[in-house]
Amino acid sequence: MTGAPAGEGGAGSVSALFRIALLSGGRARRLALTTLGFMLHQLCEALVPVLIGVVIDRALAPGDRTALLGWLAVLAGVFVVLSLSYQRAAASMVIVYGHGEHELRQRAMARLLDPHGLRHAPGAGEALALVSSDTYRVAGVSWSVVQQASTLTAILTASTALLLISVPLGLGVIAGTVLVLALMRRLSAPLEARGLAEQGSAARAGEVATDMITGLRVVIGMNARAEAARRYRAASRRSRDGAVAAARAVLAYGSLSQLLSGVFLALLATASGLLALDGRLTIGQLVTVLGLAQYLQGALAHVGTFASNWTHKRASARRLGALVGQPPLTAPASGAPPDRPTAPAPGAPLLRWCPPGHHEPLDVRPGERLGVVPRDAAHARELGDRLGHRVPLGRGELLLDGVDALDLGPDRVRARIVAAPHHGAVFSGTLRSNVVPPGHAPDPAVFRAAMLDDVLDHIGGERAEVGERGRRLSGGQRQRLLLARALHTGADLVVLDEPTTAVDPLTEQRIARGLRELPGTTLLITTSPILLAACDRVVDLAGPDHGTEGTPR
Amino acid sequence: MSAEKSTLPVAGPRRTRQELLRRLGAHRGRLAAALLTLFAGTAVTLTTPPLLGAVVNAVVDRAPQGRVLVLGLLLVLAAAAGALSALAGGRMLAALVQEVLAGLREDVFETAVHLPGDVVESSGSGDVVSRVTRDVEAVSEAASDVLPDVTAAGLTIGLSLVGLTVLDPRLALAGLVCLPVHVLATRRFLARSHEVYGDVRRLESERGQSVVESVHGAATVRAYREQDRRLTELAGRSLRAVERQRDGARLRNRFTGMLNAAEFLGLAAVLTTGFALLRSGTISLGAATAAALYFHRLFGPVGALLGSLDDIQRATVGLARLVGITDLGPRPDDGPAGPGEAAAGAGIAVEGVSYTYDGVRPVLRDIRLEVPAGTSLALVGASGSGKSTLARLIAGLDEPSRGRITAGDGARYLVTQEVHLFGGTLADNLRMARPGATDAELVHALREVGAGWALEGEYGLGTVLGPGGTPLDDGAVQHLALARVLLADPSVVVLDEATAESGPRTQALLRSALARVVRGRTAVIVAHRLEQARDADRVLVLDRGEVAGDGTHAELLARPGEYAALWEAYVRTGGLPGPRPSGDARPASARPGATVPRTKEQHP
Repeated sequence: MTGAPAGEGGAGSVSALFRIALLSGGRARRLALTTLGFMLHQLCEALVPVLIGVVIDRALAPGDRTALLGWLAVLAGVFVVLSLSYQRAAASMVIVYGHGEHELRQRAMARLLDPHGLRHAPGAGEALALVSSDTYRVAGVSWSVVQQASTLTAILTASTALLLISVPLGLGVIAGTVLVLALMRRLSAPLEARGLAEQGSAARAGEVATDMITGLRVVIGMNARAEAARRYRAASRRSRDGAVAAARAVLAYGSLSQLLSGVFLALLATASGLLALDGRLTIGQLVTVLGLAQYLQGALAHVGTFASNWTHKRASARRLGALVGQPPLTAPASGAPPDRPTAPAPGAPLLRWCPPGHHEPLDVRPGERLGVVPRDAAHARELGDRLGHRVPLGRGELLLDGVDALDLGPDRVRARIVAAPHHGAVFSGTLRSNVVPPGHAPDPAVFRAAMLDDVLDHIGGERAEVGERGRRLSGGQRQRLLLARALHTGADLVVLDEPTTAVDPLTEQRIARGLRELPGTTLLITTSPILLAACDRVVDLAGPDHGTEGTPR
Repeated sequence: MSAEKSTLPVAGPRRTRQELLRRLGAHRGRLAAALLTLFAGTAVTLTTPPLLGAVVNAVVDRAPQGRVLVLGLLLVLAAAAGALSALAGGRMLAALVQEVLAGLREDVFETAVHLPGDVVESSGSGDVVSRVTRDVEAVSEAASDVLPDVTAAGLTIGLSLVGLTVLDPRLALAGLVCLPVHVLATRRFLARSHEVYGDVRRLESERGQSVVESVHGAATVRAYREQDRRLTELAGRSLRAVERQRDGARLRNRFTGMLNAAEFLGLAAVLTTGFALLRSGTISLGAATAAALYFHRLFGPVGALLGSLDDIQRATVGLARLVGITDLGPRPDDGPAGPGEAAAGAGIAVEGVSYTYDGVRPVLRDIRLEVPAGTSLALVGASGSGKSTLARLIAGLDEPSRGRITAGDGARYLVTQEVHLFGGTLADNLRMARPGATDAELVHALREVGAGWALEGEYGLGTVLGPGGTPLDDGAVQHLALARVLLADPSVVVLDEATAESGPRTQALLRSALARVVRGRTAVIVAHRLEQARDADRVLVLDRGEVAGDGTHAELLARPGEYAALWEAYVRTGGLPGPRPSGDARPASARPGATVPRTKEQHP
């Protein structure tokens, strides 16, 4: 997996991300060829109106049949090149863009899943936006490059043809292009800002729909269906207004560019008509100029969007860069772990732990079930995070077989201590793929201990799909599945953080009984008397009498 | 995907079209005005090629400079008029389309939210979510982005043909030689694109799912050191999507190739016809020029129109799924969820109820019980015993397969196992249960259930909660859910509330809130904590869908059985820190069927 790129300057810079999208992985060569292909295509497209002028000039005006056939053959040739160059370039572009996006997405995801964590981890919604829409936009720079290159080719070809026909006309077209470009840029900025803001509000209805439908059981339970519908209606109306406003901004922009390019065409037509009247242009040249002017209209409209196109992509790249270049939360292993005895001394603790605020170290001996009572939910989460080395630890806080966790680093710590998060996630796939690590065989004793029998019954066996994020299961069923998963790892120490909060007492007691029958070393962070009763030893980190140890009878 | 018990219907193409026309038809006048304005705009813009032709003719005729200047002025006017009507017509169309769209999605949501409980309970709910979000979005996108372009392209193509016909009908006919090629190309493309793009969308949505799950499950992934496995899975899905996109690109390329061929054929035909007509003196050189320019102008719009056929096809599929939902409605209002007085006759009677999900295995067998008005019953049972199902039946979310349930005369209220924080402010969350509640009533309800924290410090009625606002843990969210019960004030309440966030403080808080909520109501409580059973007037123990014990807490303790064993284990560990049963000294005073006022508030 990709190591954390943090620290090395510029890994998260805008240009570094653009380089990934455009150049790395052999994309540079392919992108260059693709761009050339699209440019060739545009060149041919620009030649079509030129050839229309030539046909009219050389064949239609003099009524020359041979010239007609000859020039139509040339036109056919241009169409062949036009079509083939486009097809080759388009096929190749899918690879450039697709793999560029792929690589950016993998990097962003690797950062999000980085074993060392993130100092400022984005919330789920923000993370999703980063991994999906921002990578999509940044990867889109390859499209910007080819599209803008081919548009420029179109303009260059057309102005070259115009310069060849008449220098003043050619210069006029170039000056006009620059003018339209500047004008559109000035006029478009406020329109565009408004359009973007409105687009945001247009998405609101979708958010409310998702909110209400995912909470539909709750809504139905409190007879609030009518209220949910009323709220959706209100959001939908706001979205409608937002969408209309956004559409209006787009329309205003489009109409403006239509107007400008229409005026441009009129000026060009008038100027070339006057030049032709003076005899400085032939009829055919006039037709070519008119055809080119008409063709240029489209290209000019596109030129107007160049700048804003890059603005959006840079903004996305900055956001993505902030993620990719972010420093890790926990330090990697501080050097190689010092030499340690191949086998720990007999009777030595597997784990020596000094929870912050606790006076004396807490030893976990192999094979024992230790109960730890937290102050409250937040405290329980914190203890779990510390044991799983998900947060920075103090030196001497966590010693595994006498070796400091800081020297081992999070990865090696987690190889030995599995600290299942309380709000664990279930992934789509089969029940078995969620419970049994790849390459392991399911352990019927664990299935029994976690009381998975009725879950198996409910969804139809261990090969049955559990649905996206385990949606086919109830909260209690998901919790038991996660328990079975933790117990299946066979880690030296399994830390369970309130594993039975969504489970009724009868089931909880059966689970407690099951846990007692399983071999292995377990640390239970819980306030449940039923689970604590199943422990060999209990440490209370909660009360004022903080630090007492007791053994349940 | 496995076959579901209840799948949502999809409307047929005919029904979809009919519904679309009905909705558009409601705005007939405005639609006509918008289309007419766009039509006028396109017509004005299409005077450009003949005007350019006139410039050519002016040069051929050696006309005075003034004529060229006038033609130039006309071109400016045409551009201005064209741009203005495109703007005006576009604005009208956008407003209309968005309104129709809003009406449609509101109807879809309204129907979806009123679907029967079992449809939502089954995993078919994923389908509901995807319809009210993804399908609505697909249709919206097509309506906002594709429709205006397609309308403009259609108008341009139609009017260009008219323009060609005005120049000379034979020129229009020449332009039409490309039509068979277009038809052939489009048919071939659509026949295959459906499958390929369907695959692409499916693969991309799998990829998206992988992203969503990894993002939400990042902590779990780290804990189990599964980063590489998740990244590899994501990479596999993502690369498969790219591969299928390449197939799509190949298909599109073939289509483009044929369109290019059609363009050439048409252009050559127009030029050749112009040549012949010019030679016979039927048309001027300017007209021949105009014809060629007309045809050349069509390349863009034809490509846009045919290229968006696939988008239109996709939107039609989405539309059919939406109409499939709206056809299920309209449903009668579920009545005001507002305050219903705790009526005297609000007892619950369950008579010989059996229930089965699949028609084969019974989840509940011949359950009989009675909960007198104003008393509480706790359901105790291991997972799979059927207690949650019984609670759902009593709450009226589903009908028993056999037997009868009567419960009060007002609305029944269920606090579910699901913890859901609604978007918006604290007040928004509370008003779900009673939309008309005043701020004072909200504050009162919060204080009554001991959720004063929700009004202090960083919190307040106007505080935006959840992601993007002030975060709340599950215990706090469930605390709000209990405050909502007081606001709704139902006579019958069913509590399947499962959150037992650790920490005696949270538990004590939720426990006293629960006691407050139950007071004066007929209550059925699915016991997720043992104190809930002890505090109830009566306990029903379920085992594999059958009643295994029924009586007061004290009565059940006196009999040998799982309940007594459980309780004994519980008390035995009661000396431990944690949520010790604080009412140990308190006699189980609650008598079954007691209607006398009881003091349940042990946490003043």
